Amino acid sequence: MAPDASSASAGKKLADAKHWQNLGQSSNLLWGECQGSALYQTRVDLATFTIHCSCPSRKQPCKHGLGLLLLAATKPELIPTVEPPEWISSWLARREAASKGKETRKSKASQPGSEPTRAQKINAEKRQAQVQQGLERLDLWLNDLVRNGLSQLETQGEKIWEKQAAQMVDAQAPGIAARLRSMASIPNSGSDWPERLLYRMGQLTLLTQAYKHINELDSALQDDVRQLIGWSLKEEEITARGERVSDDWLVLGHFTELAAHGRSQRTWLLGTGTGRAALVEQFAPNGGHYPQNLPAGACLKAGLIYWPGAAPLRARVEAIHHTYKHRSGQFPGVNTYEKFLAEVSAMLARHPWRERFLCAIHNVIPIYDTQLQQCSIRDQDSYCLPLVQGEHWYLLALSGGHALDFVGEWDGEALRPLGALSNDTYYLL
Amino acid sequence: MHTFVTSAIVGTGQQCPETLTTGTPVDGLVERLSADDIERNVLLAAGAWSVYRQAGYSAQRLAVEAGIAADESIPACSARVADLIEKMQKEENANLLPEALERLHKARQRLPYTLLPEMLNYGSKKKEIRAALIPVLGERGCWLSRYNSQWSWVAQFLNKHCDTLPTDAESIWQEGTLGQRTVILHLQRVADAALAREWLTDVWKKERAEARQELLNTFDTELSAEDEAFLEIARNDRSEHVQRIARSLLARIPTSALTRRLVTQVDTMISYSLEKSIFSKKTKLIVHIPATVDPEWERLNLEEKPAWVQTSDERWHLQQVIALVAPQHWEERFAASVDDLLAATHDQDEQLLLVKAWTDAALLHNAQHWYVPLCKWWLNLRANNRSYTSRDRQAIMPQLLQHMALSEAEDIILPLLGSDVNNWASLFLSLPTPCSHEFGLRSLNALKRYVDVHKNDPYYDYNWARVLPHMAKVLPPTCLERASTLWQLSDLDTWANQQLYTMLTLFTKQIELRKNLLEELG
Repeated sequence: MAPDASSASAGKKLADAKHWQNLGQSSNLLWGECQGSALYQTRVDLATFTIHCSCPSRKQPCKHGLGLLLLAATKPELIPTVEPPEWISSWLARREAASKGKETRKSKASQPGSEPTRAQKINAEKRQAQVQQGLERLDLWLNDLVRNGLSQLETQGEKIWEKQAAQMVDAQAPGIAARLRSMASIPNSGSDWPERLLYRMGQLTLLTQAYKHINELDSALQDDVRQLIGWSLKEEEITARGERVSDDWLVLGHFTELAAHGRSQRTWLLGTGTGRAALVEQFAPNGGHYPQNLPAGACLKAGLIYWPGAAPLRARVEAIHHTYKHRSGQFPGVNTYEKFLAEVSAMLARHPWRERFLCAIHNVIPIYDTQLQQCSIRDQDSYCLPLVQGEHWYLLALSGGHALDFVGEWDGEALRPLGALSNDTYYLL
Repeated sequence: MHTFVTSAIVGTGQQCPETLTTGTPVDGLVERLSADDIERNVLLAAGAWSVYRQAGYSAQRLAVEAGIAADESIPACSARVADLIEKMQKEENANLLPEALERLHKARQRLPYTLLPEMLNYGSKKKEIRAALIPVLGERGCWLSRYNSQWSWVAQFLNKHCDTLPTDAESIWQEGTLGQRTVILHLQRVADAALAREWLTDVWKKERAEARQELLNTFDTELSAEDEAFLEIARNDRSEHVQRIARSLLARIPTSALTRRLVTQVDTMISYSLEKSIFSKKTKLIVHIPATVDPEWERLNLEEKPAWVQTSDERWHLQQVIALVAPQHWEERFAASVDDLLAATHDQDEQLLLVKAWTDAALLHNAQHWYVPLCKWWLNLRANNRSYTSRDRQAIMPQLLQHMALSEAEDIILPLLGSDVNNWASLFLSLPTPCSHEFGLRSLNALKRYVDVHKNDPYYDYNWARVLPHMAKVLPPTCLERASTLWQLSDLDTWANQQLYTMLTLFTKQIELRKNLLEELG
């Protein structure tokens, strides 16, 4: 949970009752006051391990929250179960009020007959027109690139992509802007870059084409296309229309990337009962924390809501009932790549723009080609998929040439490791 | 590559694609496009083809065989020990790692698989840890090391201290790295010095100077008169370094021609006399400095005189020559003990020249019984001795202490513990590990007294603090409890004492790490 080693170390230092006063806990909360430069009030939501603290630390979770959690874990007898103090009860009251407000908004939005207001209609039409114009300009630009030849991009740098992406942001199509930015790194990245770039440009054109004919698509795919362009669904809409799945979800691991003004995190979850994969995408502003703490390697008894779409994958955790350490034993998954790639194929048939797929596969062996310096994962039929470029010594050490269960993210070209189950223990990679 | 891909790369403006076909069901979709907009058609065909290709992706069979690591013969250490070792591998605690690895090996345990990449990387950076690391890598660690060229040192490592020569010793000698060949030659000298000499003679002229130097150093083991002929050849080597090694080795053979010549020459330059008066008997050692440098000495390729040494060339050369002669020679020649000989230099003009030369000679010839008297002599040397430089003492004392038995070294340092830590800090760093219980307690108490007195001194000199990491390492297990409770760290946690607080906190943490390790591994 700690954002870095120094926070973990500072947290350990504070896991001592002498630093705390007014410690207490209830069934779902833990609180205490820590004397630092000022008296900081720290509280932890035990269902989600979300930490709130009055300290000014930019690191989240802060050392006070970590210290309090560690203290509760190591010396629970020092934290009495008592009535919450005023600052906790008033916070609970505020939270309840906010939650009620949200519920009201949700129920209003989910009422079948609720019509948008005139202003909402005008705004929607205005945005529709802006997006339409933006995509038309994008199509012209893509056509120009093909007419002039992709080889000319070799010397152009990333600016032209950024310029086009900025125009898409102005046209209120941030999804397209993100795709353009991700394409900026393709020119000159390996000998086959023009081919790869053309395929990505082709997929983008398919998207603009789909948008032109959106009314001809089935409603689920319409949702996908609109989200890919950049229309974000309101929380109430997701709540009203999203599929709910309750399960024991194994938190397989995270990928964190720097984003404009913060960090974005992708967390892969796998339902141990349903075998469903879910992708939780979160954003933390600079110095802030992610809305939900999903500890990698843990198992959550929780309810998820999937974003509506033709092949739902993106989800958010609606309610965590219990968090526990991953039980020993296999997680759901396939036994061969043939099965996995057939699933990928079926998924693409429903959602042709999907870029990432969860690969959970049993009894595979990591192998290393010393000549190519390339690591691959071999299934029990001796077929291999490559791992992304990088060092995978930890995975090789865990395996030692013996079979293990593996989970990773497949991007159509290589697997990016998330974790491995070896000798009944799940290791994060 | 399909023609439409080529056209897109070149530019449809220059090369219009003849066809957009791919020979797949994608063609059916492309046929339905209007022919007006060629660029958009190319893009849509590429998009459809890319999705089709991704959906039809199939895994490949690779010719690469997955090697399998052998089963382990010893268990992995506990998670707690692994955690301690991981902490000790961090730069600030690295002084504790050798002991931890040795204890792990003695407990017949190995590193867990999860620590292997990290520890192998550590071994790549720190050569000195390799000997302790290899026995605890287990089968998995050795297996893993084969896949990374940075870790090839695992397979190449040969233990200089093993008892037996490997069965493939000769092939390692022929094909191995310089490090491996040096170890093999050393082991071969232990097993059969004549054969080792023969091996080296065969390749001598083909080796690089650096290799000749390394390989010649192995003659240190089982050196005998039979090596003289070869060493005489080496004394005429092109490399000055090789010449010096050969010269020192020849000087250690009592019957060598070089030794005989050196003894004959220096015997004429040092005399020992007894002066009797009514009240006392006093012995005197008189050094007769030659008027010119003997041409024979030029051939000895002696060390160049450093610029900071203010002495004549003749004196400098004489000192170097005496340093080659076994110090026992003087005991025999003058029928005097080491103490008598040292006492006889008292108040003599060339006192420092003689004692420096004897110190070097004692180290070269490993004259153990000279170490303690020499050490005491250097300690008692007055700072006002006109030829004295503190640089001499600082360089010499640690060398002597390192070669002494532990109890002798402790006896040298113990009387100093009551004085300023800076007086014994550098000597303490030369102490072999672990020290005795009594010495450990007394040095801890001395340190505590010193810190208590100086902790609030704003002009505090922290040079002494370099003893802390060494002390954390050399203290015997019986002293660790005392060491962990030596300071009330919270009393020192003030703005004025931050540096001291940080250093003592690290020391206390290191002591805790060792205590925890001993609890786990004994």
